Amino acid sequence: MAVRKNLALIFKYLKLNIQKEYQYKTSFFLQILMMIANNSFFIIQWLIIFSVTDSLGGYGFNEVLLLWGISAGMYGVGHLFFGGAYHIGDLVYEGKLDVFLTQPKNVLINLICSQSSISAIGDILYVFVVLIIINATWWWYLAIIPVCIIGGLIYVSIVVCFQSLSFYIKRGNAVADMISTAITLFANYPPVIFNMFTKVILFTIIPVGFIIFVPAQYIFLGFNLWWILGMVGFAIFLCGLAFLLFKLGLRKYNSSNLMGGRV
Amino acid sequence: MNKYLTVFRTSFKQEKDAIINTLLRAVSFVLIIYIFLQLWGYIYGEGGSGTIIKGYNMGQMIWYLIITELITMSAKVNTIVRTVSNEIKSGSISYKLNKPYNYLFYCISSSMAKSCMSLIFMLPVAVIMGIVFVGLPSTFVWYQILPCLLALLGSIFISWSLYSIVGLIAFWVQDAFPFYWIVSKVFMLLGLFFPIEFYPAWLQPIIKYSPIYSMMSGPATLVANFSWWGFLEIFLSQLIWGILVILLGLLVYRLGKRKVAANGG
Amino acid sequence: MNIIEVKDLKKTFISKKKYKGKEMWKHLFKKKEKIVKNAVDGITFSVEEGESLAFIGPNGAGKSTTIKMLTGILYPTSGEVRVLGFNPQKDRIKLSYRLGTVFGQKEQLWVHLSPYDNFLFFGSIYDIKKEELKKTIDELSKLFEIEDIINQPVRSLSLGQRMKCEVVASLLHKPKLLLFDEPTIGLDPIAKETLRGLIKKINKELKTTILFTSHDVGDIEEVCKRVIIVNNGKIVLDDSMRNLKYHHLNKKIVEVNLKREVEFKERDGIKLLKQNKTLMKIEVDMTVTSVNELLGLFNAEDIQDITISSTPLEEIIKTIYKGKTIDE
Repeated sequence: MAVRKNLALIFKYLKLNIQKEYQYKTSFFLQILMMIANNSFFIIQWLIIFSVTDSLGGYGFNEVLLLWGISAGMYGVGHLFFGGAYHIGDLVYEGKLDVFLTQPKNVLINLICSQSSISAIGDILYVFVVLIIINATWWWYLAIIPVCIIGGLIYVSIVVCFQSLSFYIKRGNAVADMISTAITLFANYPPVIFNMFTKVILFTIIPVGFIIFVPAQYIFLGFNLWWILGMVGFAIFLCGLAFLLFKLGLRKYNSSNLMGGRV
Repeated sequence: MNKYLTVFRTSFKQEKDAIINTLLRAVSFVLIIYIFLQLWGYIYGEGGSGTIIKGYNMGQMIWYLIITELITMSAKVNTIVRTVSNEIKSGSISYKLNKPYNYLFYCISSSMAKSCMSLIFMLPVAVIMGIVFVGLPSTFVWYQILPCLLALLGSIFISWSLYSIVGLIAFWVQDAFPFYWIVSKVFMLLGLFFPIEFYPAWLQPIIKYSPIYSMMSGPATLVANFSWWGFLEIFLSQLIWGILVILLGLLVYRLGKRKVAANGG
Repeated sequence: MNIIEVKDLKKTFISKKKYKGKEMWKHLFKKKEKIVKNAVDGITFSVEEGESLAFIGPNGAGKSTTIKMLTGILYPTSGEVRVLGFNPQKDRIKLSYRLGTVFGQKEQLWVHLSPYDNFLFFGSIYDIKKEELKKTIDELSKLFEIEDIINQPVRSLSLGQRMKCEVVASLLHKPKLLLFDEPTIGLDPIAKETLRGLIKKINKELKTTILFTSHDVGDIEEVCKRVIIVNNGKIVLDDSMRNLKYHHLNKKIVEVNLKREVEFKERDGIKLLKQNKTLMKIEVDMTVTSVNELLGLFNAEDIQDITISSTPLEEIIKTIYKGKTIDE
């Protein structure tokens, strides 16, 4: 029941945000198209890289592209459904959590769903552009959706954990921004290129390893129940951690009064 | 000339407040280069130092990327496009038009100040990073420092002038941002990631005679593989493009200004 | 039944001292000095069902902090709070179904959407069924006369209209208690007047209990029956509006600017505080006489400009303190 209500809330917010942006139609579609084009530009980068080397540890052009697709998909899911997560720091600093605290919903869910970035639709569509380019089988069309959703949840949870720092330190969101930039940077490269030291970092401080290495295995081994279960388990663990850290931080919230409405 | 220097100085002071932001940019600078280091390290293979791809060894390749990234990071061209187009759109430009300076030069000099501030932060980061990651470029000579610095400043100057023209497009269209976006993406794709030699043969002369060479590829190649002949080439390219861009900017600005007067600001 | 029950409520904010310039370097590695501020310092009061209570005090007195502890936004340092029988921090969600809030400084409406779309959205946040919600919106928009503007985007509305919509949005779930935090801040005099009328209406017709904070005495004069004055986190006075009016709001300050210099004689209840050529500041004791009577003393043609104001809050607090020391 609670799950259904929260899912309803997520879609209600999404509808409202799209409705809001859709008032400026040109800009709405331009944002989406530009994001697709932006991601597509990098295809050329990889074409040139593969003109000087045949493969990257077994990763050919198609595999790399698929990895790009998955990482764009996760990024898209994160920013479209849970766009507020990236602004927790600002909202805390400006004392704008009050509204969410007076409503009968879970504060964190309410807050992170309240904003969404329209260009993220372009990221999600790009996933299918990639699938068409690499001429994927129907199985991939089916399999990529849960991967992107679970990955997106992991990504958002990590962001929430770090953004919750801003309850304790003033520029806490700067650290969080840094981490989420790092995640997007690392998530675009095949894991084989990283040395051991980097891999350790990627599984601890910047846990992007769980987002890219797991789908990477998925690409190579095909359907593998254990990998999927591992990823789901990790997603659940991180979501729980995010809720916990946010809740602990919320006790420190001091609701400063800065002017400004909801735009 | 003096008043542009003052604008430069004032903006320089303001920029001090943004130290934290610059620090964060420095961190992501290091991260990006670190990832490139891993990527190219893998491509060059285990015996890295011996391998040469398209005339570049591993160290030169990384230095090339460090410099193009340094130019992109320091130039922060998106701010000038946003500032110029916002000022035109909001109409606040009309307050600046009647001041005793040329708006275009005002923008370029205040933006140059911001760039220099971030260059002062980023340059040491870039140099240290290069030395730690791959050592000095194999062709390094001490007397290349000054010409390389000059080329770097030249490239930032041309970037600003060129992008302020992109901002001026807002005189005619509602939102100049998509134009900025296309221009910057094309420049990025044809200059940021790879030296000229990596592109197909038919594309190489186009890149060489476009501003991309004087803004990105040129200075970066100069650092990675110095020669006086190369310096002369870049110097000429920057001189010609600098003059062309400024003239074009003045023309566009003059045409656009009439537009403001017609709309009553 | 008591709707609000507050016992010895305290909230302390701890911040670290900031150093500037050279001082900063000196203290870089030392532990920074802590600054302790008692924003709310042992407040006790209760509110009965159907009451309308004003919580007033100068800026920084602790009004907002108290209200935010009542809603569960802030955690109290110590003391007890019960609102509608709930502990706001533990049962925040349960409480919020029955509580309405309007924050003057923090608008909750989405400005790019119409009030109607906003209401539908807020209704769904409170899990109200569609038909019921539509009925409530109809009723409330009639009551508050916003039927004409309900389909325009919020950004195109005037400040007063926006405030009305904010109030309607917080009434959709038919709360038993409505909290206003500085609702009149930044409003022009007409909008202020509208809002005061609204608050009265809600209390009277919807039988909603109301607590609202303000730093403007003008707000409470006509709206509330009971007043609590706070200063420096402590309750200075908890009394009926009638008593407050009788003891402290019985004087008006009238400032007159005349076209020419006139000789002015004081009388019973009319005191000349200051005179600077044509500019006069006069205190009128409302228990003895009236402003009307004062104006009768002037030749109407002589008057260039006139302002009438109540005794400022700071003055009242000062006299209350004075009264206390004399009593003790």
